[in-house]
Amino acid sequence: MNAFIRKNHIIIISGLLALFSLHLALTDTSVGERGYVIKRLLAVTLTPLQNSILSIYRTGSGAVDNYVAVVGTKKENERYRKALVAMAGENQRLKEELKLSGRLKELLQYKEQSALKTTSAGIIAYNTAKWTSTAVINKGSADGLESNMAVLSPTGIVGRIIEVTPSTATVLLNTDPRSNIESMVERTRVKAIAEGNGKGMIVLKYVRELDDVRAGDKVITSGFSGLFPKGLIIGEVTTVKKGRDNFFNYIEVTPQVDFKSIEDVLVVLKPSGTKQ
Amino acid sequence: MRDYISLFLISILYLIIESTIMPSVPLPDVLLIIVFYIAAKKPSTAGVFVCFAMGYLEDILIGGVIGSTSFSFMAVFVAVYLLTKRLHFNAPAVRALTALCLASMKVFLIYAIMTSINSDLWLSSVTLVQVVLTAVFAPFVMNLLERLESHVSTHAFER
Repeated sequence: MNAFIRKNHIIIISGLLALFSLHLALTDTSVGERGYVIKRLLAVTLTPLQNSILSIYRTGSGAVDNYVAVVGTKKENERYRKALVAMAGENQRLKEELKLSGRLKELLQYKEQSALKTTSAGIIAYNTAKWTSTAVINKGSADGLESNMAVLSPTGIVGRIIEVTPSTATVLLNTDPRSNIESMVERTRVKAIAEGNGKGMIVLKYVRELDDVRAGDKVITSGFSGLFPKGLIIGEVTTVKKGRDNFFNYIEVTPQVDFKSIEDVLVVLKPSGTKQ
Repeated sequence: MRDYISLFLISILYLIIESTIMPSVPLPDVLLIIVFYIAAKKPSTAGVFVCFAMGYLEDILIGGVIGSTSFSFMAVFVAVYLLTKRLHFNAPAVRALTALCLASMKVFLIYAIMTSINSDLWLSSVTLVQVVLTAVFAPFVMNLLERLESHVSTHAFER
């Protein structure tokens, strides 16, 4: 027996860890609550690194773009070229400042128009190329953020917070397969559940074939769960076809928010009462 | 042990760069290639735990279903470990083909877990592109890891 264990110890340990992982995965019903200690540890150690890499990248990519443009036009004069590169770098910094100012102005306008109490935050990391769609923002529990708070942009709903550390928060984007939002079609008030489908789109669930939903209809939050305020735009219906069960329609919705370009968000500070 | 720590640090750095600079660009699954490398070249108890930790870390950092990636990594580890008794992963073509199978295996296992949460889940084209990229880059990445190991390790691993 001992000889068998010694001979196959790698397979046995791997098998046990695989079973443990499977147990974690299949019982992970409450999103974001597992691995709390490790998450806090990672937030403390990795967030500054993430911030640094992101700022170096943004500054560097802008400077490189400007540098390439400058090289093409001022080949003959090295001194002027150097001066121009320096100015281009400065120009890029000012452009970034201007862009940031524009985005913050837009957020501020939305914040002033909205009756909701919100706080703005910047996105420091994205995870959309894999199975999940999440983002990390640069504010956390120290700024009053809590799990299940709604995250918005001036164009529509972004998602909800699933994990909070003192300095950061993880947002479950509404295109994530685990996201489900109580919603309705703005034109006909047909109720549905908006779920992410893993390919950057949202699927409206439980809409019967006899319900009036057409391509082009706007989908908004219904506010029933208390998680998201009522009337926020989720997206626009792009596909309506018969479902496989011949009872419910298969409806695809394009999210209103362009997740590839969004850099700042608003978090609704009043926490929801219920969890999904 | 130093080799494992350096591989683990590379994984963390790769995950951070992936999530901050290239979040929506399909990239090769370097962590899977590292698991393949450890299982093929240096299988040990410590190696198993490092691979498990890498999967767990990926799940935490990407905000995924905790346990899904570590489960797939353990399955990949066992598969490669058993294959090493019959196959040598030295030729680039063998490495690429094996990486293709392993990446597909990882996708299938995570898909199976995710469909238990959302039955209408689609397999995105980005995921499939990532599988192909993993296969294409596996020989290069494994080559780099071998070189790195010879620098880091006090005694370079001899197969």
